[in-house]
Amino acid sequence: MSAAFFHIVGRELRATFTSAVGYIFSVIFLAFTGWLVFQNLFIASRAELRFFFELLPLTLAFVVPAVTMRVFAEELSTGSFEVLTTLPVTDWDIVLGKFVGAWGFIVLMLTPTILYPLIVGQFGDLDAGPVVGGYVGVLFLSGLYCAVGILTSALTRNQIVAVLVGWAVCSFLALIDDMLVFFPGAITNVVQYVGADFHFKSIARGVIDSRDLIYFLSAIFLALFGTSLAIERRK
Amino acid sequence: MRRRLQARGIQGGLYVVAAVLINVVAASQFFRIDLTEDRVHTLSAASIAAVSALEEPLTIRAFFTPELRAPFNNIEPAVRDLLDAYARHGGERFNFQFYSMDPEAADAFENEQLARSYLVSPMQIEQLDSNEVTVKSAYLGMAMLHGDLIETIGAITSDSRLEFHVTSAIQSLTTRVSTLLALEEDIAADLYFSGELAPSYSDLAQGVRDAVAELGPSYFGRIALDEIDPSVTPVDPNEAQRLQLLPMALTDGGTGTEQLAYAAVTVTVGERSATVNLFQNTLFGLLPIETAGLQATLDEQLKGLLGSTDRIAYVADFGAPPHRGLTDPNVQPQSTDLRSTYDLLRGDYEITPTSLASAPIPPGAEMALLVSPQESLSDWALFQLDQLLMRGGSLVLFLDSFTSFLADQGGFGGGRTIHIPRDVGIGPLLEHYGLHIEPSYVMDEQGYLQRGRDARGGAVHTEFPNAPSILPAQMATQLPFMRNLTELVMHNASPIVRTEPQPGVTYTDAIVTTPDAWQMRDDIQIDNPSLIVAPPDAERGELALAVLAEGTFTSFFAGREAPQPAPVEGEQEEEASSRQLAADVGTGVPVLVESERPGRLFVVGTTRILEPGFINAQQLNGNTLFLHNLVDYLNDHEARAELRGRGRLVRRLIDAPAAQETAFKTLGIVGPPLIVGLLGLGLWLWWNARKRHIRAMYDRP
Repeated sequence: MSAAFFHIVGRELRATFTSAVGYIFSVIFLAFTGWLVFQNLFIASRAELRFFFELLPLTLAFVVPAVTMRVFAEELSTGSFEVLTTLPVTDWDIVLGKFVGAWGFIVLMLTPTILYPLIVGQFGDLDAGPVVGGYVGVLFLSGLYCAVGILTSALTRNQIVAVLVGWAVCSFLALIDDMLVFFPGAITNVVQYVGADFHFKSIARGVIDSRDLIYFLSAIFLALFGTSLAIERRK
Repeated sequence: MRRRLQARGIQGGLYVVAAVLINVVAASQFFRIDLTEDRVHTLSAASIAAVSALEEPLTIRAFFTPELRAPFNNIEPAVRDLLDAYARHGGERFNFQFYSMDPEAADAFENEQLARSYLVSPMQIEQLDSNEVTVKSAYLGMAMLHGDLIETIGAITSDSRLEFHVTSAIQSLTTRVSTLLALEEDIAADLYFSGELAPSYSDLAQGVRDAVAELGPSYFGRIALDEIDPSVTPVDPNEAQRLQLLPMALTDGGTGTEQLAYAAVTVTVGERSATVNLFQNTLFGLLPIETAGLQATLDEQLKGLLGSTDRIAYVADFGAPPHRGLTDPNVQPQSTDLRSTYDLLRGDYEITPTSLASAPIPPGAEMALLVSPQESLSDWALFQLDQLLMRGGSLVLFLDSFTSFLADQGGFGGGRTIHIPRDVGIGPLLEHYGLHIEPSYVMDEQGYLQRGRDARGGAVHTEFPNAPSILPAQMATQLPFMRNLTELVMHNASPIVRTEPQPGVTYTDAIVTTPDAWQMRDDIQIDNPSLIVAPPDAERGELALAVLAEGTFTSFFAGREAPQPAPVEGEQEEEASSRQLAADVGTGVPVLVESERPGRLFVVGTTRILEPGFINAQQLNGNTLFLHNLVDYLNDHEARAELRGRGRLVRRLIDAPAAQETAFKTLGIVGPPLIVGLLGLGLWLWWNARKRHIRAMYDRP
């Protein structure tokens, strides 16, 4: 990785951390998930975080595009993108730098949820496996959503359009596994494989399966490659 | 520029193709890391042992219709993954093959014929098609071939507990092959068919002949059919009762005389037999069974006879209910119906009815089961139970403290259930072991909740205090056979109280009530649960409903003379005494033993939980899982018990003070957003301060 890449990562993190939008969405997201997880925790009396991880594919599908919508769209609308392209950085430095910056923010945003297993662990014998698996799955899932969000942001200079398209794509990836009954049998398995929820659920059971990792890595790569194509077209 | 973009577009296309190819290859070449504590997603030790100990090749043929819609689309990949895992441990002796049951395929007919030859039939599944729910015929089954035997799992409708079903089937198959190969005599199939029935029901007899002929090759040709006409060769009534032949009274139209006729087929392996009656008692009287299913029924019976290896001695006298269940529960309302318990256990265990009045516990039985005796147990019977425990065996007692019966409408009690204390003479033995069953019924505020609807469709909940609902907090989940249970229901149970403990014995309250339980001792009225009134708090407390005692017991008969068995009909006392000695010599057991090796005693103060309403061999509910796991544990099959309950473990939260729960709940809801909010506020203040500082630098004159 070049110095330019790290510079862009730092710049992205600074930009996100000094933007009110990121915090607003984070606080809403954390308050919402915390309420859903804990409101019935002691009534259900189950020492597990399955419910929390089941929520994440859909909730993150709304939060992540909101965080990433400004990544390219803002630069394109303000004209700072032209300045960026005159600097001695490659397209991949820009794409990867912005991706890692946004992803880093999402990971940091999720870090306070470490409190959840700590609380549940106080009241029961929590199996660490599904919790570790769940967080590994969240890393990959949020990575995929970030890559998709950045791609949609690179396709338009309008942040609203970027976030709406990002929501649509991420929600599709999150919900498609629950809508398989509507697809013909011949393509059911393919459609299921395309969905991110299917792979996330598999990891969140506490099983790290190479098939799920390869899915996430290849999907992230394709989205980032698409982003690089989009910014090349903008030059 | 355009060329460059075109080239990048082609590059992108190639990347997409590469990504798809990588995912396709990864689907068949993959690895997994199971992070769960109990490795619930990894092949269990029992499964690995089942396939790695194969002495003969085992081939699995899986038949699946391709391109099924959700949720059935996941079953084939799950089966494939599982069989892959077995194959990694099974070596060359484990093979599997998948058959695509596509009706359009060229080999569709051959595959269908093959599947049907293994008794794998298509099942009807519902699918959404063009906004309509349609029914589709689909294959979702597998056949296992080992030696000449076949085990079929005909319908796999879910990928849950798949490993348990496959491993159980493999274990059952390998045990049967070993037993069959070790048989000294052929399997006897005896057709009892009274000549009087022949004119009208000859097709029944022919159905039996055909079924036995069909089954022959699958059992190495070792089934010998014999036909007995009871009208020519009368059947001894005792023998008929032992075999559970259904007697049918026929009246001669001319003379008016009545005689018994039989129509049944029995299959006998060694000393064990099973019977299929060709007529069934129905609401409309006796009706013949369908011969179409006879082959499968006989196959099931043979699987049971060949598959069981562990023997359980069931105490069949002293008024205990029949071990196979009541033939007519209306005739024996006070007896416990063990039909479902027998169905549940017979696949894994040989349940041997034993007359403890006159005979010893049969050799090979490491566990004795005593259920609801109604008459006083003799000293000899107690001695036998005691000696089994001294030898390191397991003694399981399901006892009723009361005899319950419905009073006559017009008589005393006016149609309500009367409960009379029952004493069967086992109290002193139990007290010697440090336990006592109270002559009372346990009521619990946490009773079973029956959910129903009233006439208007509204929800109606009825709580049964006499059926305590047992949650993990009321279970000794440290016991291996209890740890996978989520909920149990007890019914009309008497509390077990610990008295003087025996040194060297560990006592565990396996099942207890909540602290809001009480005893109903006098004037027991539990017919209408809504009339059961809880006593004041001072009279309530936690009560034990099942206790496990494990360790080195001292004999109840220590220092006493060994009792004598009751003479059987026509036998002198001296002969009985010599029979006892012969039995003792035969089993190598001295007359009185003290603490030879650790034994296990499990006592439950109710037998209701063994009845069909609580035990269901087809559907694994909490009570069924508990009973099966208990018997497995007492017969040293912990791995099997663990596999059965795998993935069902629910880890419960401990009970904590409400204030503590509220505090942590608030922390969970408010804590994370507060951390992020404060971080944001801090950064915002710092950022503004910095901006002000920079502005101030420029504003300075």
